[in-house]
Amino acid sequence: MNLKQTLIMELCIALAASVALGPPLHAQQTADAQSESPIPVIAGDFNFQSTFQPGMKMLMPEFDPVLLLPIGNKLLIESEYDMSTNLTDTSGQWSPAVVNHGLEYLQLNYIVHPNLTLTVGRFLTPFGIFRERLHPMWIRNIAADPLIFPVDDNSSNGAMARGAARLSNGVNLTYATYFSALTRNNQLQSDRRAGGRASVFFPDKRFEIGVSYARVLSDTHYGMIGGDITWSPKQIPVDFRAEFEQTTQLGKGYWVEAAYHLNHLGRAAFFRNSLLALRQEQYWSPTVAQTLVTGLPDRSTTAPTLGWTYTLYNGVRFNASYGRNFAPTENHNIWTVGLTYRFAAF
Amino acid sequence: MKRALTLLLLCIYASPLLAGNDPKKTAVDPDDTYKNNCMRCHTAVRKYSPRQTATIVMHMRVRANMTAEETQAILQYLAESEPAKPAASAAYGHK
Repeated sequence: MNLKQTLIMELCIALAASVALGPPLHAQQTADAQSESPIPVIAGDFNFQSTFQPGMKMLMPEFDPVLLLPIGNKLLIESEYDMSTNLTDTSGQWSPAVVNHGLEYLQLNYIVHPNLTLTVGRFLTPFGIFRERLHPMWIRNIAADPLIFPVDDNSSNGAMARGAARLSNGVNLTYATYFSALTRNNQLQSDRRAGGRASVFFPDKRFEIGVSYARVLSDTHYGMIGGDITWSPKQIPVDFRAEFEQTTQLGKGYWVEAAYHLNHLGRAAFFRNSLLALRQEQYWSPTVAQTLVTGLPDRSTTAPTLGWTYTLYNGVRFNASYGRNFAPTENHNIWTVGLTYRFAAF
Repeated sequence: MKRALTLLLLCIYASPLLAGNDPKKTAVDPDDTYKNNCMRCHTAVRKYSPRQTATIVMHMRVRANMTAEETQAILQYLAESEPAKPAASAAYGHK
C-alpha cells in the first residue's frame, strides 16, 4: 500500500468513525446552538518592512486580506489573498516594482464532528508551526522569515482531515493529514504531495510538541520530516518556540526563539507594550545544490537575530531587529524595521 | 514496516474520534482556555460583535486545532470580557 492509498484510507476511516459516533456530535450541536450565529468577516493585515544590509536595501509592502464566510455553524469558507512587492536597491540601482500576488488559501471547512474537520480546496500545508500559525506578520515576534521557512512555505490543493481531542484532563491530541494534487497554474501552484502533522498539547502547561511528515510526489520525489515545540511557562513571561526540518533534497535546519514580555518589568506603557525576542537558527545546505525551492540560502548559514516589537495600540505594531548572517563569504549585519496594521471588519 | 507505520498513523488519527465527550472530564475554564490557547501565539484581540467573534473563533478552531470544549470556552470568555483598550491595557495580557 503506498502513501497515497494509506492517506485516502485514513480519510475514509475518519469520516466513517465520525458518522458512527453520533451522540457526541448531537451534544456538540446542542452546545453550538447556544452561541451567536456567525456572520461574514473581512480581516487581514497591511505591513511595510524595510531591510538593510551591506550593499542592499529592501522595501517590502504587503497586503493580505482575509475573507471568512460562514454558512451556519458547521461550514466555513475562508480565503486569504497575498499581495506584495519586493523593491531592492543594489548599489544605488532600484529593481522594478513588480507586484507578486497569489491565493494563500481558499478552503471550505466542514466541522463534521467535535474532533474532526474536513477541508477541501486550497489550504496552508500543515507542516511544522510557522506556516499555519505564525506566518501572519502581526503574530511574529521577529519579522524576518526563518532561514528554513522556504521549505514549507507552500499551499496545497486537495483535501485535509484535522482536529483535536482532549485525551484526559490537561492532555490534548491534535492531528492534520492531507493529500494535494499537482497544479501548475501560477496563482494556484501546488505540489503533488501527502503528509500530516500530529502533536500533543498540555494546555495547563502551555506546552506542545509536534511532529510532521510530508512526501513530495511531483517531478522530483523527496521526503521531509519536522519537529516543533512551543512552551509558554506561567512562571516567567517568556514564549519559547522551536522547529527543525530535515529533507532528502533541500538540506536541513532549525530555529529556536525566545520572546520576553516586558510587561512584568513595570507599569509604564513602554514596558506593557514591548516584547524582546531572540532567535538562533542554522541551515545546512545539501551536498548537491538544490533548484526545487527558491529562497533558501545557497550555502550553510547561521544567523542569530535580536528583535523588539512595540504595540502602538491594538492592531498596530512596530518592529525592529538586528541580525548577523554567518556564512562563507556572506558575513554581514541585517537590520529590519517595519510597521504592521491588523484589521477586521464586516 | 509500512504496515506498522500505517497502523500507528491510524491509531493517532482515530484516537481523537474515539475520545468523544467524556462527561467525567472536568469542564475547561474560559479564562484559562483563552490564555492557554490564544495568547501563546498572539496578543489580546480587539472586541468584536458577538457574531463576528463567532466567525473568528470558528476560523481559529480549525487553524489552531482546538477542541470543541475549548472553542466554546473561548467564545464564553470573549463574550464576557471587557473590550481591549488601546495602550492603556497590557498588550500581552497577564501570563
